[in-house]
Amino acid sequence: MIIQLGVTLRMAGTLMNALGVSLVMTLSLYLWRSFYPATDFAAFFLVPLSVLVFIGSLWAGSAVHRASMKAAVRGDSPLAWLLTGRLRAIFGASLFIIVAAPLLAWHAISSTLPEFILFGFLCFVASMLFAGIEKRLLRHLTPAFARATALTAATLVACAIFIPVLAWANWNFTLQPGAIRSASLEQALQLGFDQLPARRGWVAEIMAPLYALEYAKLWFAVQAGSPKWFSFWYSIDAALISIIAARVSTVLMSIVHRTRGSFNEPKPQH
Amino acid sequence: MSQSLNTDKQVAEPDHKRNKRIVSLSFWATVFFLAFATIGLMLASRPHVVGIPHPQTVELPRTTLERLLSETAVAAIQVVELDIDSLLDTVYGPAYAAISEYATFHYSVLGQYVELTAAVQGQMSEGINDRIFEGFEQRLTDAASVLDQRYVEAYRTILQDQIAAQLATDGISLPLGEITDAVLQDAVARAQTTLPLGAVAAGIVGSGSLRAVSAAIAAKLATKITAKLAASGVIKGGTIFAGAGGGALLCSWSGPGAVLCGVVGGAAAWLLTDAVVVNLDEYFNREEFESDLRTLLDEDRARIRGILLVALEDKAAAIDEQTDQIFRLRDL
Repeated sequence: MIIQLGVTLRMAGTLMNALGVSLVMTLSLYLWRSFYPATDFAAFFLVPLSVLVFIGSLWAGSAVHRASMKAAVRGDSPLAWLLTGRLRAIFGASLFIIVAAPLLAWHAISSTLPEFILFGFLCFVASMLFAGIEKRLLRHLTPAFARATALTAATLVACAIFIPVLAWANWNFTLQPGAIRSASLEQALQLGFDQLPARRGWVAEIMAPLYALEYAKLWFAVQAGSPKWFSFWYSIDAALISIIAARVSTVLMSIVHRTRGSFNEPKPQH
Repeated sequence: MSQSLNTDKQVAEPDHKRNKRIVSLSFWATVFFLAFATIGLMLASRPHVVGIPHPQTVELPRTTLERLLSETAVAAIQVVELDIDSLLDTVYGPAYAAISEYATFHYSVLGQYVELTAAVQGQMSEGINDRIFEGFEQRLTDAASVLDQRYVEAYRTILQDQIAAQLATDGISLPLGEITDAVLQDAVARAQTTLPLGAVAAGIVGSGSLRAVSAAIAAKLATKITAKLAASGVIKGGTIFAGAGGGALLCSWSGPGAVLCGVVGGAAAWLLTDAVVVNLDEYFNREEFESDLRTLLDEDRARIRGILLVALEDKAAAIDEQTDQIFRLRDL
């Protein structure tokens, strides 16, 4: 009875954490999207998300790299103090957030409501998958490698589920501008730039290449015309944002979820 | 050594746990902050939140949308039609201003011989082009682009007003639905991409119509030059011999130098005759000459104005035809 209650509470905790991850993702992006047409300070709402993701990536990365370097570097090496894996972890976490934040921000302002809802669901599922996979992996791997493997595995499984769903939704429901049908490539790029706010600014400078690339791809898919299924590659491409979203969700889950025997909650030593 | 490592580990683990707890607390604090901010935003901006459509929205009927877009395309022409003249002023202004300067050149001895040489070489049009129409093509292309931008702006503004008026008439206070919003955005995008006037201006420039105007002026000049040469030829017949004879007579004391003085005297008489004829021509004909050039420019300006207006009408018709063509990729 007590064991069953404990399992139930633990399950409720996991659900709560996954919900929290989903909320951090969707609300950050929602607030960013809501304020962005008015001001560049909308980027402020992405800061907590970025910081949390950076910390999560750094912890997961540094644990694995530290273990690897410990096995690789001799203890009496004069460079032992430097080769701890921390620099590599910092570099990896920084690179990830530099790529992920603009892509997520751009996706948030260019997606439709159904896509946004699916996106939130993806974050929830990826977080749950991470918790489940890490718990199983801890029976076989050390905590650092269990976490890193769980992050990758949960991301891949979530993508395998959601990329087809998001691509299908994009292909069937997302409304595309009719102007792209008669536009030249240059005009198509201009259509993309026209989506930017008139005030321009530094955020627009970051978003501009993403819009240009998106409209160039859409233009190519539309101009190719036939066979009909060819345009589906564009939808698949649009759904690839799932990879970033799933990875960010799993990283967030990794800093808030406590799995017995993991970093967050080491097994009591007997 | 082993004891030292254990001590380090014992110190590090509480630190690590404390960091985890701080980050975990930060995470939940972020959740609550974002949740409160979202609720605040929703309360502050209800019923419409920027960006994501409110669940309760309204889609305008297709027939209403088509009517509004049709009316907007025509109304935008009426707005920018008033701008065409002011834009053409900037295009033709320097050309009109150059007429007086060109007339001064035309009614000079040097100008007469430059024009004569150009006429003999068949390059009179090029000379006129350089002196009157310098920079004209670029100005025309720029003006057409500005006109296009103003049409798009007028289209956007009128469309917003029309939609607001329609919603007010129907007593609707809900935000527009996704499809209606997409159609409207697409219509504005179409206004930007459909038959841009810059391309029309490039077509005018490429067709060489400007050269036709220069050629018309050149033809007019050729007639005048021929008449002027004939008139000065009659007068020169007597004056050159008189000038040469007078020069030789004056220098007769110098012996063989008298020939040279005769040549100089003849040349001076030639140029003097030219100057008299050119000045007489200017006195009697300059006003008419300038007026003729202005008439040619007026005619060309009216022609370009007509082309731009037709281009605007074609653009509006093309936009109107394509207004409901937002699509889904599955529809390709």
